Amino acid sequence: MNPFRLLAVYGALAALALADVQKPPPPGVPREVKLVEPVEKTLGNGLRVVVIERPGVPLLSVRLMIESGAEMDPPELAGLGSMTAALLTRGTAKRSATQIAEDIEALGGAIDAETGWDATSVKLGVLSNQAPAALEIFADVVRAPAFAAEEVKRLRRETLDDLRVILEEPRTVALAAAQRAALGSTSYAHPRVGTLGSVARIQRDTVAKLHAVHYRPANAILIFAGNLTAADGFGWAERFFGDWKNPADPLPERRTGEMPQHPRVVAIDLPNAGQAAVVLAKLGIARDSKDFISGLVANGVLGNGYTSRLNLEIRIKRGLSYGAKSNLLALAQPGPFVAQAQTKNSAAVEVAQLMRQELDRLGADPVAPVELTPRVSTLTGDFSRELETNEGFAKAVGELAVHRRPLAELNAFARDARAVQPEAIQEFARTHLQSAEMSLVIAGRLESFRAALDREFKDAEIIAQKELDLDSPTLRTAKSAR
Amino acid sequence: MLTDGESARLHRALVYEQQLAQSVEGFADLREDLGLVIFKVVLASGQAPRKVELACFKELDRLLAEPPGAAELAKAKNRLLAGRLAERETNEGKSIALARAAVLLHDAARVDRDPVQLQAITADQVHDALKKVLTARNRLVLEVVPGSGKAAKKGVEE
Repeated sequence: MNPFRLLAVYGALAALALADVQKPPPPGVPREVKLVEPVEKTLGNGLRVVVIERPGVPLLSVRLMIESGAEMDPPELAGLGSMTAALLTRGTAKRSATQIAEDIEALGGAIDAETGWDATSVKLGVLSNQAPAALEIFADVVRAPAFAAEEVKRLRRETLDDLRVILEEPRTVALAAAQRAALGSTSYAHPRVGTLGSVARIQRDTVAKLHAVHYRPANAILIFAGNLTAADGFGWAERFFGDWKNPADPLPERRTGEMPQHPRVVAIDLPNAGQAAVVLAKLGIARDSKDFISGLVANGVLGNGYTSRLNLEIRIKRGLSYGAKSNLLALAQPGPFVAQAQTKNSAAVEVAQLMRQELDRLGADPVAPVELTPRVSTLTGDFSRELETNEGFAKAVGELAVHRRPLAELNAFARDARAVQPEAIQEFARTHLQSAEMSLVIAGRLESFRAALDREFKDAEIIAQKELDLDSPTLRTAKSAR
Repeated sequence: MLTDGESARLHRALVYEQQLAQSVEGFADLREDLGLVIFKVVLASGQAPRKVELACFKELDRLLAEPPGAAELAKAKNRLLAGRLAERETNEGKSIALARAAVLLHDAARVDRDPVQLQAITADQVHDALKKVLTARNRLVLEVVPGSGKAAKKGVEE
């Protein structure tokens, strides 16, 4: 074959491929989705039980949600809820930590616990034909953890070691400090994992007390998702949790705290940081806000997904970061809105200003449909993919249940997100996302961005790494504040 | 048996019992050609790398010296099976499983056959395979330690 002929063929193929790239097939019309309906009942002791039947793959996901999360941590004991949850699987009245791991793993299962805001979730994943044996262990760790002094000590050491590592990362430091700067001493302001100071103070008896007070059936939701029937789920709930008793004392009230008087600009000097993290934060909305869906879509345009505005401006157009994004956390009470990017130290202030511009642009100009449609698709696609797994489905149902939303709202999310109008996005941005109301935290090597900071933010507070105290609303150790 | 789950040998010995490590992970990067078996250990603070390495080798050597018992083998199979099934809950997971079978193993049908065959593997087969792979001559150890402030400052920024 004539080699030139071959090249000509390749050339034609390349042209064809290029034409394909330039004209991708248009997306189809979104289909109405009808998800499986969860069924539920409440046991005599007040435990709410929800079952999602998903026959097929022989797996089962179980999620017990205690309706108390890290917001219940006392101000001086950040991380108490997380430590309590992590200690559940470290020994019970009848099993040692190693026996629990051995027994549950022999069934092809795993038990994990995590403390979020508003809820603590204890999760079991297991082969569905092993469910009864696994649930016996699961109920044991939830109801009768031993909290042996030796295990508390062991976990405290592990947690402190983890904290020492993550507190060297600019991103972790900036996010934790920004949450503090934006939320003051209110109950969502501290790091859920705790701080070096608070974790060192957590004692066995405080852990046992938190468990005794909050882990009770009338403060819990038990969710089954997977290869089971409703009768299986309700039967197992009764068998393993039916005789779980509520303590006589009522649940304690959530604590309140002080919101900061005004937004702050804080620079934290991490002399060893290879990059700087830039975070903007302020108080957002509660889950029951009528603006919840428009807020999610507004955040979607701004900072959810690769081609959302923050990433488009900061990464794609300017190459200043590997990723810029934002998150709107709607909780039982208003939670934080957070925008973040990591960049080279010398560009930190420039990136902060770009982020602020994008926040204000969202309120100033309407979003065109050509931009809005893919942003909404990203949001609804994320949501749908989460529902693919038993665990994801149980999580989504659990979030609705904890926030007292009708479980049928699962079916409405995609439709409601698609119905959000550009005016509602602008309105949300003007009400909740104005840059002037945001606190700004930059954590990085100060000498690389000091000049720009002095020029752009004259009132910036400078905090040295060793003066930083995440337990304090001032963000400073008592010694350095004097 | 070595790293999957908290009751796995390396996790139990290094993290829980001896408290030498913060975490232990292990995975077999199996490819069409030779791949790597990798163990990643994050040390607990104040521990000397060499001491942790020796503790790690001790566990590997113990598994080389004697085939695993029936209960331990059954546990590892159950965990593997649950993991394979969980992967297939999602479309992406299904496509990855198919791709692995079709591309790496040259037989898409193995996506269905392998989980069944997994159940038939014996302790001796596992032991024989380990003796080929986990030999002392076949090991490379990388120690990654935090740099001094000076070194980090000189590090690449951009």
